[in-house]
Amino acid sequence: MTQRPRKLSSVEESRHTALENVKKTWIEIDHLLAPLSADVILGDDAGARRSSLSSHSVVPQIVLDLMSQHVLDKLNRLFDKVISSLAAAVARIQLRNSPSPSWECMDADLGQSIMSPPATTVPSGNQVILLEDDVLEYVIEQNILIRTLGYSIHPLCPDAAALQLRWNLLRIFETLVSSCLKDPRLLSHESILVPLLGLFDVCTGKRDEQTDRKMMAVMNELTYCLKQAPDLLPFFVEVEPEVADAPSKEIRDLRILSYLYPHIHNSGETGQLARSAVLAVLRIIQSEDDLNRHVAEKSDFCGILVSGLCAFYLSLPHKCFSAFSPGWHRINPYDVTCSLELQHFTEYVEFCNAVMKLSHPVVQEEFTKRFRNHFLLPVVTQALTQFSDEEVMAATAYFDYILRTLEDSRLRACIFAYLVGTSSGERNIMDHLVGNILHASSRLSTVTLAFFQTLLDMNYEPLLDYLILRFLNEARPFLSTSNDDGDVFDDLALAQELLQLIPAACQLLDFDLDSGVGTGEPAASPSALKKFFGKKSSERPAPVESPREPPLTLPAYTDYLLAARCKLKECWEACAAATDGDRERDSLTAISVRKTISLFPDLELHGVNFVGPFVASLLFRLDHLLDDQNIYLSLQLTGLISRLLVYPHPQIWNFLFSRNDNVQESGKFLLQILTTLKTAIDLIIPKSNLGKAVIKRTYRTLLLRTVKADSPTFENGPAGSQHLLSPADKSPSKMSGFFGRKSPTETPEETVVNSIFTEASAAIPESVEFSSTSPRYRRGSVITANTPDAGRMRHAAYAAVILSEFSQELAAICQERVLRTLLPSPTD
Amino acid sequence: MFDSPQMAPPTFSLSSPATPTETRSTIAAEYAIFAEYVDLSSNPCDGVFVVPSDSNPRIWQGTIAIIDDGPYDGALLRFTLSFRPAIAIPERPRLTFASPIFHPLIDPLSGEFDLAFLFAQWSNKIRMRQVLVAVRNAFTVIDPNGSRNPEAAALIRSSPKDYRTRVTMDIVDTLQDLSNDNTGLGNVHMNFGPWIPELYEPILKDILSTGAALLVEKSRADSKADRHNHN
Repeated sequence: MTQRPRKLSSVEESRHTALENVKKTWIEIDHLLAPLSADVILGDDAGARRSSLSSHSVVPQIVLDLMSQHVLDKLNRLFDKVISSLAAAVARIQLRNSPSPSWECMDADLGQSIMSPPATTVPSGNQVILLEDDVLEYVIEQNILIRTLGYSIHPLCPDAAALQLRWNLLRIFETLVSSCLKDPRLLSHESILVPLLGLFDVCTGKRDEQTDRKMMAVMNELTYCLKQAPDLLPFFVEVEPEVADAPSKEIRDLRILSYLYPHIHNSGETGQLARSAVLAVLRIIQSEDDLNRHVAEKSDFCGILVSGLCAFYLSLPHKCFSAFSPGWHRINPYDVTCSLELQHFTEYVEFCNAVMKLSHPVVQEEFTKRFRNHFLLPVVTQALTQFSDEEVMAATAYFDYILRTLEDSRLRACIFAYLVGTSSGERNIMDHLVGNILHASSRLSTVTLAFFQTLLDMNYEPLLDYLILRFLNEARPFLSTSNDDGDVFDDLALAQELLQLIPAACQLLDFDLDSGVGTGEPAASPSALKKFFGKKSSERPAPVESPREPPLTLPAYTDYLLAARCKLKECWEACAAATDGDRERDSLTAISVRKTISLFPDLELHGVNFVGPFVASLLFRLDHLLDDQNIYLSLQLTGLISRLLVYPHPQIWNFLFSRNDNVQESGKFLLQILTTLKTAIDLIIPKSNLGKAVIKRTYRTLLLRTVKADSPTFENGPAGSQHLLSPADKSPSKMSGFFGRKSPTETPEETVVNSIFTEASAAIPESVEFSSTSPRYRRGSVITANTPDAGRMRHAAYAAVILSEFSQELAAICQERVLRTLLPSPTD
Repeated sequence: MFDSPQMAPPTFSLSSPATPTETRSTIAAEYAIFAEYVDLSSNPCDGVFVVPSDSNPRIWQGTIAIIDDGPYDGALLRFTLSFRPAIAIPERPRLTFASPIFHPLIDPLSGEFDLAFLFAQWSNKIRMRQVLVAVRNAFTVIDPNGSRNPEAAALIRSSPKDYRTRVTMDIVDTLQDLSNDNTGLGNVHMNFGPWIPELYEPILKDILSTGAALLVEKSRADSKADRHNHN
């Protein structure tokens, strides 16, 4: 056999002492528990109960002993000793660093097929395993583990003692299994494997928080071992006994996975351990078709996963967002850190991502099916179609969050199909959500707009088709405009035109908002269009960034150009990549245009026939930018419209920038709406120093919103991009102190401006109501914060800034789009 | 948002200090010029080569090569196309030849080509491609009604043969001048020299095959665009 290396006598001695200690300890334990041992047969609880009840008159005394805390404490101390001896033994084995020479011969019948019958069902008592450690040998020879387990399940063993024994057994296995990393054959040994599985069974039947956690820890150790020695997997697979000899085995249970089921939903450490073990098992069985088919079709795995998702989803707060800042529009990382439920939900969704990534196609397919049938259809639908605005808002935000958190493309596609294919009343879910864009609650609208932003950011063309293209295609006969032949150079003039839409008072702004020096635009450098347009270029100049001092400069037009270029590149490439393999479009757009239009009677006058309810709603909102609109809603709105224009589809572009007179009666187009807005704003905000000061102040407020303060709610990562139109959640009301301060060099205009933006009103208005009694702006008169004129001007100023930045954003997209259209193939 | 670190922010030939409004119109004008260049380079026209100046995006440098049976056959004419600064699109550019070659439409002193003669009405519908093709064609079909060089106009009417002799002399001169930079712009992007087969033939071959690949790519892109339109 193997030749043991020579050892120093002192090492031999200490090992001998260790062995003696273990023996002594075990005898003591056995003595304490021995009276329970009679007639107990593992695996036959009922028989054991009967026999022990009938034949043991001493039982009451033992039970009494085992109920005393003193005895239990003693038992615990003894097990501590055993465990530390075992740990030392394991450490010795691991230090020895010897490969297992006898592993191959012992494995003779295992090696052939991974699905061979588990060796545990065959009596293998005569097998000689060289454990190379006396302590370990003793533990195994004495069947200590089996006997302890036997004591623990004895019907007369008091619950507390049984729990104690299970706990200690788990600790022993934790030590033993970790040693199997080095020497996996240990795991296959009958006197380890049988009590291990038995213990798992018992612990699964008798749940306890502590043993649950410990059991999951052992399971994790076990998966590490199985990863190293996948040949051991059959030990953890139960096959149908009657067909055990048939060529293809009918799998009854993948035990290693089943043990994890009850713990997957645990929101604490136990759950985390269980989920990481699940992932490890999925990875181990990845290439085992039969096992995966069993998991997908016969086991509860997918059902349990999805019911966990439902449980975590339903535990989320139903209306928690009233506490958030007025600009809140979607769940951000800060919200997640604030809510334990959201954290648990996030962890679980990420777990689902990992399951989809690691599992076999049959499991993926089953999970997707259940995700739709048991989560989306019953749970999400119910949440999205409640009566309370607050609850619908929360549900929409959660849905948005799910969409952003799920990574798997099949699950996303499943969500898209669900949105269109599921009806709630007359409308399907998608139309239901589109309807919320015009909801009276501006907060619900804002959240809904953010949700559509997420949808559009997925660059999923079937979706675009459903929301817009199918309407445009239907309306094509009425819409044939000169634009259709598309001289792309015309769009350069369009860009100029868009820049003319910047309100007059904003055009006056040619100063740095802080110091009055510079323009906020990059300083004139010898131009290098080539540098900008060329493939390779010098590094981007580092943006001015300081975490404390808010950089209050006007956003440069070149920032918009660069942003437009990035967005166009990403979107056009994504759409080009998808076009070839796109087959879902038909199913999504089979829904009749006419039917959808009929569901939005309110929008009929606003061009819904041509663009469908989605774009019609956006244009309707935009048309009312100056009315009763929430500023954050306006920011979301303009962001969404510009996102639509990033798509490569010429129909969308041509429609939104259409000038065809024939269609004018049925709805306004983007340019008309913007022109009207500019005219109205220019009437309200004078082209005087006062107007300039009001605009300046408004810019300050909005820029402060985008400045990264100590709150992590700021979500637009890259520094230096002071993109006014990008959504951010910094509540400006926190900055209101800023406006209460009197500047020592206050001009008469600033005095008026300060009265317009008094501290109370400095926060961006949720919605500004207009008084019909004072339709005219009284030029030159003193305005105070409480007069309708002040409110009107304040609100118009916000609209002016939004329009100014929106015009630039659109012009930038327009210019960059011309270049991208002219390029034969994107090469950058 | 700015996830491509290799992408530079746009820089433009702004005269500092500029107001944001001025900046935006400068940028708009230069986008228009660059769009023309992208248009030309993705769909080049025969015999005309242009490249934007390194120092000024409003100036293109170019060469027209004429291969026909006319008097200008074999000419390589360098020119500068300049777009007026700070003026937006609907403005006729100026096209000036490096050597004032003998032609009714070319000023014998400045070398400026009379674009107004070819494009009396300027509009932003006129593409630089059209302009350059028209200029190239003006050397093949010589219009005697040009008035920039009355002597040339008169000579082509009276004696085409003498006209041809006169032009040939000029061509010889321009070919000799090719390697000199008299554009005043410094950095010349196009250099001319003798044909060295060992050196240039592999490059030519490579260009031809790349060009073919680009054509395939373009037709594929076109058909994709068609599909979009029909949906």
